[in-house]
Amino acid sequence: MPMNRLAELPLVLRPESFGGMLFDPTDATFLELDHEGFELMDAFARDPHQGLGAEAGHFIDEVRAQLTRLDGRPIRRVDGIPLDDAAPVPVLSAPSLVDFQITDRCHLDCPHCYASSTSQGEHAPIADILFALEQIADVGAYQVALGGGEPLLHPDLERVLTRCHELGLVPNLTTSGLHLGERNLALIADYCGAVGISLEGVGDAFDVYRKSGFARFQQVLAKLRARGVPTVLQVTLNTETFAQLDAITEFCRHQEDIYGVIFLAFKPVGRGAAFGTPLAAIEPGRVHERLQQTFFTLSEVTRVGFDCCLTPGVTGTGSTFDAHAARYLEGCSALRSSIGLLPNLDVLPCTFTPEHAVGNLHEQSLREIWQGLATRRFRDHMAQRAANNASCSSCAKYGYCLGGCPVMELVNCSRDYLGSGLGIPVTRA
Amino acid sequence: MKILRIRRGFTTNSSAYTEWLPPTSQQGNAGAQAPPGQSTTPPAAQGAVAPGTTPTVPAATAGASSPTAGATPPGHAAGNTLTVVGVIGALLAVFVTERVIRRLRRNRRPDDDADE
Repeated sequence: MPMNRLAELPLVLRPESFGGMLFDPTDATFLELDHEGFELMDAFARDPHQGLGAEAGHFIDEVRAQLTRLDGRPIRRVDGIPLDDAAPVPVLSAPSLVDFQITDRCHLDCPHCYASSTSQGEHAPIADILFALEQIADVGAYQVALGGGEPLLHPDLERVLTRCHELGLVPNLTTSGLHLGERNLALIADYCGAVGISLEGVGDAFDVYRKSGFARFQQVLAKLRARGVPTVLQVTLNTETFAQLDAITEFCRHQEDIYGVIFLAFKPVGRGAAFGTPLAAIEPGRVHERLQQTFFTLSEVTRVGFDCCLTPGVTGTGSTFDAHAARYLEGCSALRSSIGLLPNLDVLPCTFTPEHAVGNLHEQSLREIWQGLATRRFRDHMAQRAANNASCSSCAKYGYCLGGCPVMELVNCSRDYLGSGLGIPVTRA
Repeated sequence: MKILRIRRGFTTNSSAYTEWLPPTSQQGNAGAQAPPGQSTTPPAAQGAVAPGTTPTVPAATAGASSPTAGATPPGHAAGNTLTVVGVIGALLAVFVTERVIRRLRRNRRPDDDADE
């Protein structure tokens, strides 16, 4: 994979309640450090040439081994945002990821578009985007997921990407790839971490979702790969695409050199509300079994991921997959480690919850919003929703599930936290 | 001083700041382990405020029963299960050993205590 300009960015060091986090933008490595480790890295950042004892030297060696480059590289120390009181759910000191919809415009008119984007959609003004990026960098976020709409349609995309770079942020983006000309391709290859393109089916099944067609999808994929752009295949799972999972898995299994495959829970939002059915309608044991099978098949050839909305479907009954997932998954990240940002600079728990805005960057700083009452109320809601659910409040897996999506019923778990009837299939896909 | 956990991977969408699940073959790597040295206390006894520490289900609101268990931090559920199995195994072993000793003592002949 050709090295792009992310390798020029400084490492980022940020305190957390458990110690701190060191982020390497080159390949998006996150090192979670204990308090002593964080203090040592903080001292190292200020003076890398100071004398170190044997134990400290060994620790620095361990850190060095995990990063693309430590020596001679600046470390940007950010403070994070102090929280006034103990949060009812685990919260990082600042959002690590900001999902930023920089435009409402898209020409594809997909029937399941959660953003309800259209050809007449408005772009976020570049001044607003730059204003938001300043704040995102100021609080110490690491990555920005640019989306829309179709972000490649934004007339100031180049300025957006170069500003991210100047601020030390890693931009990733999701695109249909229909506007992937040479200029956009070069920009992405130079500045972005990864690019996501959606795959809802293979062949004719794809065409149901996107009028651009499967052949065009394959051309886009080939173009990105030829340029060495880390490409993520994003598979949104609803009851229909779940039925296509074998074909999708088989297709993905034969794509060499893709960055990974990420499975996303379908959300009945925007136009999608009238188009698909969430996985909650399928027996949870079956969802778990298929996700497990898919993970083991694909993880042999590429990265595999699951969005946090899918976590209840990943939790199972003590399987290897379940135990493995417990090491990495952390439940809903909304207002805990990520936020959504609309073109009008409304700050959301995630971009699927526009009715739950917790502030607007024109009125409050991101720092204030992260600490603010509306944000705390949402976190309280997240915790109370699980506490009031007998299946969640007595579940040993709460720590990595957090009781599923706090807003929508997306996918059930093996303990039937949605109350659909434990083990009884509601609908077979 | 420790590296508690290592994650890698760019995130292209909003639904988690890290979402990649490494292959199970990487479980043996130091970075893929649950944070070392952290508590394996049963969930109900733990408190929680941040990733890397311990999330706990808060007290339920009116009408709901008190939570009997909270939650373990990411990566700790499997560890806790192993610990519980280990403790039960140890108790079982002590119980069996004690029964065997009692049985041996009951069956012992009076001259077993005699010097050679």
